[in-house]
Amino acid sequence: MSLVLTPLSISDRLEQILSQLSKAITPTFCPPHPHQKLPRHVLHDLTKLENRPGCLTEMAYEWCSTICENYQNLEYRESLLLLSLEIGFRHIDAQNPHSPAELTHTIHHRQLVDIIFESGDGESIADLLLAWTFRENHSGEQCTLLNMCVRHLVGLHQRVPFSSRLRRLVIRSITLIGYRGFEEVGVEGLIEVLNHLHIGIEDTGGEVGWGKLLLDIIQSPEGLQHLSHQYWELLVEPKILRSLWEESEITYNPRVAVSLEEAEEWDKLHYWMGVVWTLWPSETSGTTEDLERAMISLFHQRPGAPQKLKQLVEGWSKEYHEDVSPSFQRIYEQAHEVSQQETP
Amino acid sequence: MLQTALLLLICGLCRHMIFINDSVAAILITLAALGGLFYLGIIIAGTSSYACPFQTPPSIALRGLWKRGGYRIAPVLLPIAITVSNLVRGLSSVTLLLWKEATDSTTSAFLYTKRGVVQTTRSLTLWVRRRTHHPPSLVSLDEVQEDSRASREGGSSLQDNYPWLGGANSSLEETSILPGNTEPWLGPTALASLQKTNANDARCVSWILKNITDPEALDAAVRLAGMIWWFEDGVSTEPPYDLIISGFHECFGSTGEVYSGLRDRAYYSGRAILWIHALAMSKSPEVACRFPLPTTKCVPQAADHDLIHLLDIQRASSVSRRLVYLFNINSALSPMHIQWISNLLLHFSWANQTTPGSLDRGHLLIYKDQWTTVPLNVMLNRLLAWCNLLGSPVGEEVFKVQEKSYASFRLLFFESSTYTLVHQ
Repeated sequence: MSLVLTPLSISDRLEQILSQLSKAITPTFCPPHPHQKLPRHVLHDLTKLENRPGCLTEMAYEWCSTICENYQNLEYRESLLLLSLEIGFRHIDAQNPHSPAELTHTIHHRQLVDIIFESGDGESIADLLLAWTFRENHSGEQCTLLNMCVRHLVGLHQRVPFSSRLRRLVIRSITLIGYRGFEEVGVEGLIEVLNHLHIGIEDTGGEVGWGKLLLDIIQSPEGLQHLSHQYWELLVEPKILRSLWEESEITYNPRVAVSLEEAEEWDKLHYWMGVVWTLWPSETSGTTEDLERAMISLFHQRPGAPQKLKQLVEGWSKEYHEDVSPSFQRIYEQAHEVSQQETP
Repeated sequence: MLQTALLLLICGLCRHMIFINDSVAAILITLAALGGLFYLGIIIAGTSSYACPFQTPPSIALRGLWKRGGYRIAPVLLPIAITVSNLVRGLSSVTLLLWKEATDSTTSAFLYTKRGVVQTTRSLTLWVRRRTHHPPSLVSLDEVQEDSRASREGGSSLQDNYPWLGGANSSLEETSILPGNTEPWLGPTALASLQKTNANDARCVSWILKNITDPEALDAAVRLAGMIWWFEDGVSTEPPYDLIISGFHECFGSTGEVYSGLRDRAYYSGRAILWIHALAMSKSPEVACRFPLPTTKCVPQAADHDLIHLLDIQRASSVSRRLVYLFNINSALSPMHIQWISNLLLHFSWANQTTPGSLDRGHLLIYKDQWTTVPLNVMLNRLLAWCNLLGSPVGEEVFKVQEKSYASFRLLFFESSTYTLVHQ
């Protein structure tokens, strides 16, 4: 017969012991120290701790700052930082990130960007991205830190194999950074990453920023040319359209339809028409000439498009209890008529 | 059937004795009646609570009947049960007095050799004590903790069962050994109780190893020797180290193989040797010199990972290698062994403060820990050890070294120590 007893309030004890350990280990991160070699083993040991409390995440993040501030030995510093991030963030679910930890960002954390991304360790990069994205309310310093990752995120897929965790966190980071964050390094790089990620509606997690990002890219010259076809399709997903509809700062670019028609990108034009007539029915009423020509061309090239487009616009109007735009009705009927006459 | 036969025999004996001698018959009938009442009390107690250690077939059957509709006859049964319970309480208080006598003298050693007696007496006292709020002198931490857990589950406070624990300041729930928290993990009373139990255990083990030849008793004593907090009273209660070492060597043949049937003795002797050695080092370098590790050429079976690991630690000539073995654990080792090793590690880390160089902290280069996650109890011990090795001893500002290490040791060491001995 064996009787197993759990020591009293073991989780409280764990937090107390971790606090004591943190006090003990922090001075060793400041060389020269007699126990300079021990921290790596301690941190290695901590990676094996199950059910890590939120305080450990905070401690590990603080250790990162201390290590960045004090360590000169680059190789040793990198291994300590990788371990600290693993201790603090590896256990947090990337899909549904939740932790009571309150992170304190310091200027020294900025060094993490170069060190971790250059280490080439995909899971550690994911840890770092998780550290800067798992909180919904993004502070100024957190945004700065995340924006510093931009140049590393561009082309990351060529340097590091993407695990599902890293992929998810890269998507989340790109969404939070937004289109403007990538303008400095070039939007082509962002489009390249997105085309590699093959993001579906299930990956976006219904995030508000995602539709806005996609719309900004699509309305840019680079996006028009290079963004994969699947993202155009993604744009007319009800979830994305809804988030865009609730967004106040979206602008209509009439050049998109013209450019797509000139480039004979009929599938993209089809999706774009759906977006235009659901999001900007009032704005488009004054610029009907280009749209009418584009729709005639589209209906001529894609005989199934009129029906699908009408379904989308009418379904949208029904859901939001709004009348279908008279401009749409008129242009649709004209375009449909012309396309039928031209069809032999 | 056996119980019924016994009842009939007693009835027949009493009836027969009436015709022979009235006085003897009266005494016999009185004793039989008391025995019958005691038996009835046990049945009722067993029926009323599953936690009662005396479960008999009638109590199990009665509990089943009670669940099916016995509550209807509760108004009748309750007064009877209370009366019988009071009688049992009166009887048990006598047993308690005997037990108290035993724990304070070498009689307890005798009790250890009769494990059945110990278990019965202890179980009875433990169970009755919970019902009678007995003073703390007989209560050990394990019982207090078990009650505390039960109290938390039941929504009552620890003080309900143990009023002598005092207010929140001395409660186990509210205490801590770490700086910044002014309260210790154990209240002074609980700590004193632990130390007393430990001192008794130390005397018992020494006595058994020196005087008893019963293999079962020796096994139990050797097992306990690897868990006791030796040298608590200075060095007055020294462990029978030489006897344990000779017992350890006797488990192995001339070629180093373990004799059949003596594997457990070898393992637990090995544990006791390492344990005593570590505790001696934590006392002082002088004490450590008197308890050196033996040299062994033992060859345990390849599949016996626990024993191999233990012998590796013993053989580790350099202190750095010892630290490596103490930290490196793998999934082939048993959970009990891993827990014990973490306790040993903690004590070596304490020893390192009193006997510098017990563990060389600069050469922990080999790290082959194959576990992806470590059990929480083990991890806590390892973290405490790291605190000590990093030069930040746990609770230095709050407790004296002995007390704080004792407290944490007992708390963390719990599941594989005292209870294992009592229940196996």
